[in-house]
Amino acid sequence: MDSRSLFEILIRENTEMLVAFLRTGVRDEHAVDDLYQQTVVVAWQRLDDYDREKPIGPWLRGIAGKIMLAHFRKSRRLAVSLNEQSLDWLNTRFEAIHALRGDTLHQKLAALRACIEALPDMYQRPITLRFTEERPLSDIESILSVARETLKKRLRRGKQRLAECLERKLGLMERA
Amino acid sequence: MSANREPEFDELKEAWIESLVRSASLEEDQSRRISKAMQYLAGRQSELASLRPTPRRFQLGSLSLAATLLLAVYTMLLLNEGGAQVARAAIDHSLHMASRLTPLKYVVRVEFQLPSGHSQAVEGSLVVQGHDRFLLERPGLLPGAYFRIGRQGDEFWVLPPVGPVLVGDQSSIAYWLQEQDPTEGRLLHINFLLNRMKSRQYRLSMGADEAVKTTNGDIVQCQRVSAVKSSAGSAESPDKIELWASRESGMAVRILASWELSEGQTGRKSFLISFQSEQPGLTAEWFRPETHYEGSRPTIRFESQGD
Repeated sequence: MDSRSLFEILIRENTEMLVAFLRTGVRDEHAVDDLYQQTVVVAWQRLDDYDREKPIGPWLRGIAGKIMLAHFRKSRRLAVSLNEQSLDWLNTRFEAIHALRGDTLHQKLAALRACIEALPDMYQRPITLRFTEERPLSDIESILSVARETLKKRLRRGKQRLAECLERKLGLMERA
Repeated sequence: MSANREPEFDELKEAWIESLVRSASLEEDQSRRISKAMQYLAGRQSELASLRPTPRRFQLGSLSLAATLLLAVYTMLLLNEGGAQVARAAIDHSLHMASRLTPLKYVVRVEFQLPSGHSQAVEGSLVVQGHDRFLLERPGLLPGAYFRIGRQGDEFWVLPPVGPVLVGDQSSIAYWLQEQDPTEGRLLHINFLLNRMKSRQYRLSMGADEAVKTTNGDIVQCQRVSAVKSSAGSAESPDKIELWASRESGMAVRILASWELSEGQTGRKSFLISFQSEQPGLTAEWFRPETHYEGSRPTIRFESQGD
């Protein structure tokens, strides 16, 4: 087996997590594709720098984070403003998810699905319609018969509850 | 956390959750994305090679660092017999190999303890490709008839010798199989067993090397890893899982899951998966139910059983 095939195996095992990481910073799917490809190319170029005693996931996310920062500086088009500190924060969470049981990211996120199911309906429905079914806000307004501002509040509150629930399950709740 | 950091992190936390909700809802097929990146890499390989900072170092290594990574695992295995860390590395390596794109064919044998005290075995063949495709075939009651269970990406299916095709997601088909089929769909996935070995409920140890005869008659020098369930392990999990991984390639040559049954207890006793051959000629179509029957059959779709 040649070195590129071995590299592909490592990439294949880490792609789901890498894509989820990139999607945290970038909403546009074409941009996610581009940044993913750049990450893979840079990882291949810098394979010599990889400390093989450490897991490869954080290393790949480190590269992806730098690429996202460069993308942000160039285009100012990121979903959130990122810096070294926020990337560390994010990496800690992805590492905790990586440690969960399951072969795939989807399987590891059973904990999050349980959090979604436990949400009160007033938050669960908007979250499902928006992020699972990917419906536009205008559709959701009609389906739920709520005003745009109410919908936004429910989405925001729903996401906050999910984050709290997942962080609790990951043992990452920040102490007051 | 300082007061002025809070809003930034709230925003980040929301973006993090949005991304995860999407991954939690949909098990995406990443093949297109990976293939595109790897094709791009292949196209630029010569160019990229010239960008490497120390060509001499590259020559001396004679292999890329990716290969060195695996060599390091081998070296570690050779130098440090025994120890859970080494065993974990062997399992990790087998997981890498199990995720390869070349389809691999295995023989599956499940042994049951009957109320009479005797044992009965059911055999079948299993072809796996990567982490999300497999096909299990075992003979049906009629000569030439087969009972088939498969997975193609997110879709799991069951094809009995006659009658409708049953299609569903992992939870619905796994639920159905647990009710109906002794071979149990979850155990058919090599990755499932290997990952279970790594889980906290098992204690790992390395055994002595063994020469294993494959079902093709080839002799493969293997390292043996044993995972014994701790008292905290779940009741349905095997009491012991053993892996025989090829010293040369790291591939899982044999995996044996066994349950300790008390006297008079009936049920599944062991589950053995033995490597037979690579099947490079098989395409993705092989893992679809329609490839394995002629004419038309009705399809029954199962509702998800949740997680």
